[in-house]
Amino acid sequence: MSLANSPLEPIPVAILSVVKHDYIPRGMLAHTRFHAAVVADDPEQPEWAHERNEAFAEELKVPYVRSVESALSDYDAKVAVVSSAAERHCDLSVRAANAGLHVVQDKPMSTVLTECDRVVEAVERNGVKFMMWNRNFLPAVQQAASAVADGKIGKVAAIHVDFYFAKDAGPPISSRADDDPPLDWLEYLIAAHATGADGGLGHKPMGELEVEGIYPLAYIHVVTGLRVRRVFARAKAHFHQLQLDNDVDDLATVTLEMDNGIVGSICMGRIGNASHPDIGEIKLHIVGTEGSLVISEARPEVSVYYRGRPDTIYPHLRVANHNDWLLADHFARAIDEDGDTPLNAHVARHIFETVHAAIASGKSGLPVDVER
Amino acid sequence: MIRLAIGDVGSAGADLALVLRDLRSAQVVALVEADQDRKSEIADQLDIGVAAGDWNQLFESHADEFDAVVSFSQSMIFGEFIERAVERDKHMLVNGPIDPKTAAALAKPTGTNYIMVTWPLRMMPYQQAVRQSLDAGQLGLPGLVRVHHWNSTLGQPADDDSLTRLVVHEVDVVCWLFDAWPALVYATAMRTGDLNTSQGVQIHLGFPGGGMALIDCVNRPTSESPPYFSLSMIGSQGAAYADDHHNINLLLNEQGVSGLAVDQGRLHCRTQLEDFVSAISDGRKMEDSVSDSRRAMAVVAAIEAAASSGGAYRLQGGDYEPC
Repeated sequence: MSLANSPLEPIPVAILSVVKHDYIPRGMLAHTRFHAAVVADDPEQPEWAHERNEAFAEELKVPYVRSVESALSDYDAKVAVVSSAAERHCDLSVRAANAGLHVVQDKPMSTVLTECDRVVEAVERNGVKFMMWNRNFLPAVQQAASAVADGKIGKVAAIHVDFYFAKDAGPPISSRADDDPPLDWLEYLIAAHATGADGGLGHKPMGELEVEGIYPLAYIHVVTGLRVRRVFARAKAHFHQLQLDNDVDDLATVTLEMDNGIVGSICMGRIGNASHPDIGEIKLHIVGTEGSLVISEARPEVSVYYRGRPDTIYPHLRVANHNDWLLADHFARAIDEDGDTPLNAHVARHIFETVHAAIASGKSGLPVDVER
Repeated sequence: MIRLAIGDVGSAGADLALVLRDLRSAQVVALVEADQDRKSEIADQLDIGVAAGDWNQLFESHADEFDAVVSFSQSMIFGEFIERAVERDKHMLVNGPIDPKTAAALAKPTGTNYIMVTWPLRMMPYQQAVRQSLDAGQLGLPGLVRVHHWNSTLGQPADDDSLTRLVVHEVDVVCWLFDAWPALVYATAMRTGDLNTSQGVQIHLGFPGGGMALIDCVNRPTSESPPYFSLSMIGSQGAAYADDHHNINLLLNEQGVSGLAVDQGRLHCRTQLEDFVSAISDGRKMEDSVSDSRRAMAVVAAIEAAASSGGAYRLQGGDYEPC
């Protein structure tokens, strides 16, 4: 579906499940081209999910319907925004694509590779646009990509991304007695909604690699445009009882062997509130044949300190950050001009493959090829 | 007061002289320096009475005039120098690494002398601050160490571009912070594909208990690219970030804006020497420093094998075997 003949026409949006953080629909709706038409979810979802969806619909002053099919057909929506539990991401995206809607989806793409394949197929068959939400338009990331594209460091030989979130994820390891039951993943993630740290919401536990790995891998892709061929990873639960009890990682390192012989790496983790004054140390180190780059992803920023500042308020404020608006704007233009989106279904699928190869490598202690 | 004979001062001469004038419990009494001009300059600055052209001359003619020998050489192969010092029961401080054969011999000390292998990179202010935080319990259990070291100025001999030279100090620092041999070793050479040219290598280590390290070393002539170093230690209770990026000031002139890296300086050698002297005074065991050298060299050998083969290597029975 193209709006190429009417580039300024408002684009109605169906928000399909907003049970976790809501920054994606908010990010899209902050752009004047997009307006909310309806919030919807499947009727069999638990009541707590309906409550969250209803609250969001009420805030936006749009209807809430307990029927995704009705939302896709009865509200003239042209775009679907999917922010459900991760295991439902792909199914909702496929249903929206089959109904002819363009799709903006939260990360991770899925928890299962075959679901990612369904999205790629549905998007292509229906000729709709797909965008995985990302951070590629942060000013510092764009600076890095531009410097490389302009040849300032020659050809890229290596690229490394540190992506630490200095956030707690429940109590620390060894905080429960041996005869206490393991911490329940879903229960904790439902409670984490209050702090916005519920990106892993769902029945299936997910480690940091799976939940957040898309961000550093997307940075590497936007700078190099290349695919990963092989990975070697180490991963563990180092900080939090929740991750340990559910056998997923909260600290991971991945070596990436990429096309054109480029070497890469990512270090990531949910390292705890105490381990950084702000959201975390997030950096890119890029080595080229004629120079190198060291980029702090947070910049530009302004430091603000005051008596009584709550621990939950970071002293360094990111400024000039128009990532969300730029993503929405590029998505609108992709629709208008039948162009590509900032992170399409194919790239998103490859990122998923890379993450899952890394998880397998972390468990085996062996390098693992990334499927093609 | 421990009497020191120093040698192989190299390019650190003037800075070293500053440090050597102010050592606690030690005094420099002898100098070995092949370069005549530098020998005279340092001997004058430190008021050193004994100055020889090489170590053999010093041992032959002045063996009773000093208690300990300190070599600042980056050579790695000490061989005869160490043998002479052991014969004369002299305390000894040398820069790591030392070649495996010598390390194996020194692992079984026979005299009353102390032998310390020291590592300049460990002694630099960044690493000392991180280690102090770790030892104080502020960081909890180490989980991840990430090192970037581009165009190191640690004094690599111009004619030695081996992989060992490129990575051994960084490998040692990581093992020192974890206080362990890595259980798993993986490595990938950078695009040149030939480790012997040492353009760069990425090293990925797994430690017992799940700890992990990533080391990225690149070496190009400093005329083409200035040095850069960063080390992050992520622990279970806290984290430390030692990064040149945080320590850069700005120069603004008609050329535009450029960065001025604040140098860590060369006075870390004072820490090395103070540590050595206090160990002698305290009668503190130093065999660990020799075994640390064996550890670093064994890991480097595994790195080379891993990068060549494309496979991971696992520690088994004190040696690294392919997985």
